[in-house]
Amino acid sequence: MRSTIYSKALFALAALLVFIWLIPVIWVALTSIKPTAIINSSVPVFFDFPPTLDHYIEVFDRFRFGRAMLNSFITVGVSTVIVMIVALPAAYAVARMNLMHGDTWALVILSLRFMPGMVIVLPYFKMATFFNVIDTQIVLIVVYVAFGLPFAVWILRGFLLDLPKEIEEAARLDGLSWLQIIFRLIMPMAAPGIAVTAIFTFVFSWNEFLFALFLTFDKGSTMPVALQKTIDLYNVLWGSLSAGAVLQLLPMILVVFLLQKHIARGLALGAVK
Amino acid sequence: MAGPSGWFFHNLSLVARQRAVAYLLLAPAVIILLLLAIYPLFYAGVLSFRVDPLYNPNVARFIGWRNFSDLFEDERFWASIRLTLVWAFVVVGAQMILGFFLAVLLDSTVRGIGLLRSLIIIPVFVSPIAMGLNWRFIFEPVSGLANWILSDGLGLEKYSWLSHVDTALTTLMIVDCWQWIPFVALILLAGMQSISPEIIEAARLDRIRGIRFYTKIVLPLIRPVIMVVILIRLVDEIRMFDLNFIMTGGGPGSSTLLASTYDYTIFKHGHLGLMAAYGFLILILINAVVAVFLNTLYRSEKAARRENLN
Amino acid sequence: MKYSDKDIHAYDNAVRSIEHEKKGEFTRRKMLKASAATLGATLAAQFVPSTVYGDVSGTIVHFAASGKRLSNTLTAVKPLFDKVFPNVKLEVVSKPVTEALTQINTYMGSKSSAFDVVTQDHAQFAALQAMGALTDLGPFLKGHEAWLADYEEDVPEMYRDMWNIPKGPAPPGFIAGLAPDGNAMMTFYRKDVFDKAGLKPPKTWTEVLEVAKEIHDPAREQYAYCAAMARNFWAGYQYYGALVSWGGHTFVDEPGGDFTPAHSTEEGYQALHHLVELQKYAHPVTANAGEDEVNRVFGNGTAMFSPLSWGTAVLNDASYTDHYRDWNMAVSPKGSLPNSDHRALTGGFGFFLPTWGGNKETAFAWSKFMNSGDREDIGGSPLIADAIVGAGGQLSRLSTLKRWSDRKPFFNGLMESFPVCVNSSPIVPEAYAIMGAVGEEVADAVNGEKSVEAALKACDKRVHRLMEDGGYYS
Repeated sequence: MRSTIYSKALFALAALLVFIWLIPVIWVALTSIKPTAIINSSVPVFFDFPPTLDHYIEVFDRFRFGRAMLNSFITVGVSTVIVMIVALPAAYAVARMNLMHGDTWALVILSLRFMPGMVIVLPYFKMATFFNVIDTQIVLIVVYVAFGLPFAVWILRGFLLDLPKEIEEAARLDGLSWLQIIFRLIMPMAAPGIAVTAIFTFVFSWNEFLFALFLTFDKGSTMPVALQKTIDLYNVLWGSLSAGAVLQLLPMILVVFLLQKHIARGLALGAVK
Repeated sequence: MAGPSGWFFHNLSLVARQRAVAYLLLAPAVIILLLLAIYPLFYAGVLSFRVDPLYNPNVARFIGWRNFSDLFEDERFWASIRLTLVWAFVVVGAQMILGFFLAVLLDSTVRGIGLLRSLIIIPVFVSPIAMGLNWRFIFEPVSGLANWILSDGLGLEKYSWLSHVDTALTTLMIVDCWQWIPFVALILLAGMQSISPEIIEAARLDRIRGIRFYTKIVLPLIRPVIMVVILIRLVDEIRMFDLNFIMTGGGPGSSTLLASTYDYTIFKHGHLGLMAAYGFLILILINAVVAVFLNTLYRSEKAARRENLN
Repeated sequence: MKYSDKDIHAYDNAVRSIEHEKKGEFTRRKMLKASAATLGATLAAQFVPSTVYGDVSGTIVHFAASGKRLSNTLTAVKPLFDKVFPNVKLEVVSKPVTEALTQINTYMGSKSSAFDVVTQDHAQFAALQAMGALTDLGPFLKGHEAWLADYEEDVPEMYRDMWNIPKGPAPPGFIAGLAPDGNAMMTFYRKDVFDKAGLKPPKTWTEVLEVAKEIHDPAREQYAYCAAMARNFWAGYQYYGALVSWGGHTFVDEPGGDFTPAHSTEEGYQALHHLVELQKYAHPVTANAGEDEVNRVFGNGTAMFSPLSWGTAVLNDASYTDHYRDWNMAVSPKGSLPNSDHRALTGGFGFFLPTWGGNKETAFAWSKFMNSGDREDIGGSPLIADAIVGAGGQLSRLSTLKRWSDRKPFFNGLMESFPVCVNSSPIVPEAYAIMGAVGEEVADAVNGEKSVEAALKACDKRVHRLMEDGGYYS
């Protein structure tokens, strides 16, 4: 009895915390429907304004956000899928198979993400020009796979290390092949970790700006680049910026919603034992 | 094959076979990365020994170690390295501790907790460009939301946030933690949710609850996940760029000039060689930090794992 | 197209209220609010070109940064151009303005043939020349003498000159760029606040400090002064704007001379010293502000003036600020040393044809069209300037500036400043790097992290190294 009230109280606390935490984001959403003159007022205005859809219209009209959204979805979606397909076996090999210097391999993979972006971007620009793939979706997919892989391998490795060792022994005794072990046994058990990794791989590429900037123009540009165009030299278009930010955020929330229930599945898997 | 020697050979080839399969599984990742990393590293390496202005390609030439010696003599360079290290450790420490508490808070089975989890992760996702600029707007010292809350809401004095050399760095730290604590929390939470139900049941039977349950039971069990997160966050915070550049660009003055931002301004001014040199130094720095981190903490993880196996 | 007083009055009312205008009538408000493309299309509907060049065909790609003065104006004028050259396909591509400068340099440095026309900041033209990216427009202008004469009469020589390459091996009269756009640093001030305090816009830097002291009232959240002191080219411009008004130069005995940096001089000291002194009366954001932030605090009424600001016309825009009627502009102040004078730091965006681009004749035809004035007899039209201003741009021709000055007081400021204008950056490829380096030191000084003398010494040292690398001292 006591624990239920206790946990409900904790929930209320958590809910309050989440609300306060999100106030800056709510502020952005509000800004996206405020008329410009009110955005620029000297006192913050919360609800006392006539809402307008002008900024959303401008974002789609002048900043071609529709096309940018499509590009974002395709480049980030495809690259995330590829990353997960390649990273899971690699992480498994490193974490649970007796690889010599397995951890060294993991570190080598991870270290390729250490380089500051702008140092890599110039050679990538030259390579992309050479292969004539500037302003295409392919080039960004390749780049995002390269950037998502190290992180995905490293995080999955952590989760896989977590799992009890005995699983493989039992499975090998039952005569399962390695691929079967990975995809039928490990994947469900590591579902929380996999979901988390997928979410974050998606997110890091979703907001990626530098490479999208260098490697695309209008046709192939993703949302972050389109969003940056609301920053004029002498004047930031706050309304359009916020509208674009909201549009960029909504698919993410959807993705998280869909995947987050996998994060809670762990408790149900006691049946495996 | 019968007899002890036959069984030994059978096992040996099993291990070797396992290793072969492991390499095979690893191969795609490594190949992709090597292909996409070799040329940039080589290119940047060569570039760091040249002066190669973006605005005047005619004067590009080899100058040996001059870029590096320039950096080492530059007071701002050392200040930025110091600042970056302080930044990384303070911020990662704060995120790990507070992230853990947030994970505990969200580790619940009350209905609706899933919604909360999905919502709290939003700060991680929001476009750094849009959010960074809006934070600048919020922290505007005269008309911003933050000061409005302070003065009109709580009756306190208005704070200078990003507009003064003494307060800008702290403000940046707050925003960075705001963005990444949920990330840490979510990963730790996933780790917590992977704990074998038997252990949880055992703890319940032993009447270990509340904060002791989390610190004494959960924390050691999710140790690998914690190490992973610390490493990732440490590396990312040393490379911190987006929020820093958008919100302050290194200013006011040089009070928030972190390494990557400094490197980027060097790039924007067209000094490609110097930028590459600095980039390599940052790379070395990260590798050093990672090496130290792994050496001290990782050894104990290996010991703990060995303990688990026995 | 003249607008009567009645129109202007109706415009004001329409802007202040949120009711919709009468259907079908293309009022000022609609014009200034419409997206560039629809604006252009509507103007094109009224456009009847005197000559149509149907036999010219091809594709031309124009790269410009995204923004009101940049790609937006192109998109607005394009439908007009399409009517004159119906078989030419004009593509406007853009990247965010914060990155565009570097992008253009990257592309031109790689000898890219991706663009046929590029809009670039004037300060980059020396760098473009160093890359060999500029095409001499002289040959293309042959046969268009009447047009050229009109252009040279309407755009002040000192301003126009910034796009003619004066140094180096290029032949005299090398016109590298045509500029439909212009800007100048000037004094921005709130006329209502000044009138109330009985003040006139300051003419000298001493007066600037006096005026600032007078109207500074932090208790009422009325800060006297705000300027862009972000630690990059913004702060660099502040310093150079002040420097030239005191009679100083970037290099000793500029132009010509041996490129010795000249920041640690009396002029340099006075310039930076006054800027540092002004911080006492500064709005807090000044410490790290870009011009966008300065405009915002001007717009929301918490800062009252700036002796040196690029500003643009946004402060005269009713949808941007409630004080759109109160912001006035005047020529920037001067120093009090012997060589001091009113000198307006000037810059702008011009078109050039990359060496490696294609369709040069057609690309030139488009550049010429956009730079044409009101005169229809030489291929121009008043609708061109209307489209540019409607899309948020500013003009370089005195005649069109005058025509629009009743609705945009900012244009009055431009008309006053262009005749006394000074190039805002030294005419060397290293210009942008110099601006950035100096800006960093100035920002440090303004924020109290360095003394004025130390900052100026650091400027000299860094500029010296830049020029040394460029081979200027061998």
